[in-house]
Amino acid sequence: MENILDILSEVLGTSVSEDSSVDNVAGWDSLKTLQVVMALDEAGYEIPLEKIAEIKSVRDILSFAVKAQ
Amino acid sequence: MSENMSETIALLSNVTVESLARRIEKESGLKVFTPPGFDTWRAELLNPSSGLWRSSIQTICVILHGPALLPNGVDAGFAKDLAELSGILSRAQAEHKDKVLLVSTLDLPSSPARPLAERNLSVQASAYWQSELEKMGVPVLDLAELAAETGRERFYSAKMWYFGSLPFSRQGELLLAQEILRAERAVRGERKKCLVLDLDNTLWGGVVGEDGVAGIDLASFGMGSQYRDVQRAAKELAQQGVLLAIASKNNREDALRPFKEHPHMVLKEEDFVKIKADWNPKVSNIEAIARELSIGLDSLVFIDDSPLEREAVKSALPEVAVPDFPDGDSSRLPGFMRQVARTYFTALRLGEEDLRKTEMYRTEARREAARSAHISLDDYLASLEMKLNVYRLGLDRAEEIARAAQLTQKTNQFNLTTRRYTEADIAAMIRDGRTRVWMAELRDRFGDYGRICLVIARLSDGPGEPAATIDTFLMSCRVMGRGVEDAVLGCVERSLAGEGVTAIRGEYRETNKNEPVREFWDKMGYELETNVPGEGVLWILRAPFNERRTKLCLNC
Repeated sequence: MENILDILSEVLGTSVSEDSSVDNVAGWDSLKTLQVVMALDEAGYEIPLEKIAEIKSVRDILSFAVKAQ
Repeated sequence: MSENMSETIALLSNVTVESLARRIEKESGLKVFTPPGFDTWRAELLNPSSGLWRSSIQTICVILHGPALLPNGVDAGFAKDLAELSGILSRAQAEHKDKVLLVSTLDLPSSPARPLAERNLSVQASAYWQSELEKMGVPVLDLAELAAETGRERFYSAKMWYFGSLPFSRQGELLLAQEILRAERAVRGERKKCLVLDLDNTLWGGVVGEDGVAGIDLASFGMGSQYRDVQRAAKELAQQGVLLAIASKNNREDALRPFKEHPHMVLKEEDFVKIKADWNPKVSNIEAIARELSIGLDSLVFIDDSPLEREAVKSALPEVAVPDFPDGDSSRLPGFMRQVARTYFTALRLGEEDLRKTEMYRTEARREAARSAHISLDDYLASLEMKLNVYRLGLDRAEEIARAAQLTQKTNQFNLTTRRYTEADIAAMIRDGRTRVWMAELRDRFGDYGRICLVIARLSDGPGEPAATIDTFLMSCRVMGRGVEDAVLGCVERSLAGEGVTAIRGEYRETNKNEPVREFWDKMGYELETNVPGEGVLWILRAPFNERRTKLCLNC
């Protein structure tokens, strides 16, 4: 989980916590969401395509991401 | 990145490239313009009032995702579709000659159920597009090659494609960003000019001076052929107008032997415009290469397997590009060479001049050689317009004392006694009334060599003939063979004569490095006085000290 938060912080350009969301992180737009999914994908965390559009917060990401085998 | 910085690159595409644009900005600090909307690239190119034509933009990069360009797959009518697109590009190119259009190749995966014996339309369409771009004469961004090298599985991401109309994986996007920036550097003409190569363990395996020509690792097939491939990569660069030079610590004769005798050498002596194979520091040889070719140090790339040599060059000549050499596995060398070629030597296009350049420089070198064969050394030295300044060292400048100590610590070849002194030692000598310390600095029409020579003399004590002994006489090997030593010695002798000295003793202590100056005192007209094996040799010159002829403009 810490790893995920690190990746999110890097992509979003600011330190995020579990309580961060599109509402309280400046600049978190759909492009950022896309970059987050890309970065997680590369780090081996998969978010199913169906769930990506639902992402609104860090908590969403933590619940959707599945560590790839 | 400042907000008011203007965009210099525009990205156009038939897919989402905002993320790629941000990536390029992050990698380079440049600002990238992407027009609004999705898949509007054709209209933007045709629209005279598009934001593309603002003056700050130099490069317009068109990234085309093949499968999205031909969404119904590649059918036999591909030529008509692609010709229409190249028509749009040609028109934009003709109307906006101040911009550089950089257009991607098409990566078109073959149809999965393609009958094995049928013609492959995807391959043909890619080739057709490539030839259209060649006809237009635009620089090409080889996206298909990038995808092939990375592997489509890793270069693309189905998830990104379906979610965001973005076909590339994060890795693919990063590679594409780097490729675009590489092309952008070529557009701006930031191409290096000269590749300086080491020999042993770089162009062949092993050390030719020790292993002999027969013992070095170099073959046309199997083990040893990794070095042949390294040589081929260098040769290819030479054929594209990159100048090749050698900086090798070797006896020149040993270094050149493989070029003459080894059957599998791809590179020949005449592929190199400068060959520096001697025992001088590589830093000075590299400086000489730049100077003699009249190119900046920032136009050089230096390749050497020795981390020590690389560090020395990096710290002394930070303008020179020194890529990390792959250690411990020579099978990685050819790939490393390709990377070097890609990173530093990408040209926008090959001018005829590029192709002729090596020949030109070689002719110049030959002319120079012919000229040197006819002119006298004196004429040559006079043509250098050297200015030598010789001065006594005082205590007032600590930095001078530091340089003097450094010279005693570092100088090996032209060092008659090789006595190493600390700054405190030098300071003590200056304070001591019986010791004289001189330094000399040299400039010529090629540049400033700085402080390159140090002489320390001790005056004799007590009664008897007023004499002096040259305790230290050293000079940077960068300035050997120019008569600098004669001029400096002349100054020192005159100065000592002015103090009433009537006999000067010159000392020589042999080391395994200072062979080149063994005969120095003899050449300077001193007579052998004593020779104590293991102690050193003393030479003596008695007054009157004759004026020494010099081709230097001397200030002492």
